[in-house]
Amino acid sequence: MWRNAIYGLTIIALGLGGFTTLSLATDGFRAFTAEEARRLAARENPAPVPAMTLEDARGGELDLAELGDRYVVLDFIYTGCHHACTTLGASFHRIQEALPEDVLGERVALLSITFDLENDDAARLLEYGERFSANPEAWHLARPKTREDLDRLLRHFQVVVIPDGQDFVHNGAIYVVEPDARVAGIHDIDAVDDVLAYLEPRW
Amino acid sequence: MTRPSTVWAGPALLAVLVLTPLRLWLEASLIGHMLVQIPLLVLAGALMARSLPEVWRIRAARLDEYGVLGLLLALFVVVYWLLPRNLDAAVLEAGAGWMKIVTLVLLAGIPLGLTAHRLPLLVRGVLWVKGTAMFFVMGWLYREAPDRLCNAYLLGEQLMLGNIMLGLGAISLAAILALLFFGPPNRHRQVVAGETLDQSQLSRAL
Repeated sequence: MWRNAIYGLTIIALGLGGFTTLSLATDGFRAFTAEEARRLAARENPAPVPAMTLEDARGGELDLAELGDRYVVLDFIYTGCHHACTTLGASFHRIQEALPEDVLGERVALLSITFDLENDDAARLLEYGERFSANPEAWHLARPKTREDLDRLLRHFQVVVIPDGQDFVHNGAIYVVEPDARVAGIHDIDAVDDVLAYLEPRW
Repeated sequence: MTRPSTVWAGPALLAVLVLTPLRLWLEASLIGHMLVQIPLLVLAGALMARSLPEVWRIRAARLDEYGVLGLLLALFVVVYWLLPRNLDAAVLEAGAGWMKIVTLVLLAGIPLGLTAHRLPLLVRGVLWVKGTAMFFVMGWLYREAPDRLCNAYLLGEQLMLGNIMLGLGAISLAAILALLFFGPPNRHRQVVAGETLDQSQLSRAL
């Protein structure tokens, strides 16, 4: 009898332990995918962007952590992309057009960073900007200087790029970086309204 | 009790899974990762448990009379690694990848190998039926998910995985129905008889 009671209690203890482990592993059953996990982390524990200087496609350099006292809407692209990045480009265009004149570039800036170092030089980035009528004062186009910088950046933002035949597939998103350089929001590539709703009371 | 040829089956399977390019090849696809590599790692552990000294089985029997502890532990470990975020981590982070192999072998395969034969028939039946239902539910989820659940895998593959899981669920359901309508095949009756004999021998050994 005692043996059975102890056996039963052990089963309950193991069940509770397993349940607790799964709960911890899913942030309290709120994030089952890596994408949900990084979005949850950005909302609850915003982490600063890495200190890194990027090449500005319009010449000069761009310090990622020193983009001034403004909000930065950021995305990762490659100009040869015809799926997610087209949506992202269109979303950025809509955000740019929706921002009031005194906010655009002053309180909110846009930044697209390429992860295709082989193909995307300054000329192609500018072409991409033209395709989406990027305002040169507000929408920056940049590329990491080295492969190491790029890897560090992608790891930091948990961007996963996988080849898909000739193309790339990546977990595209719109990132909102606070004036204090922390990434406080990760949104779907077409969630223009969410991004604007987040920014409007703050700019 | 264990034939010498089977002593090496578990370690050999594990070595093939872990040390050869097969590992990268299986992990390159969602289907290979979820439906082939993870089950085979558990199987490798279970085979290794069979070649452990007899004293291990006796200890396991004393600790886990009905095999429920071993089953629960294995289920938790497998479910943990089937979470999409952990599948991603296992592919994208080397540490997590090795952790997956070690835990699936040591905490899922070996406990199952040591205790699964003690599970009462009722528990096995419930497990089979619930497992079949899970294949349908998960298959449907993977099939219908509009977004990628794993960052490391393509959407098309997720759809295919869903279809395969639905297919496996259907096969399993057909087997359950066949068992209900036609009863167990003769071969199975003998296996069950052999197992009860095995269990009575073990309990006598205790």
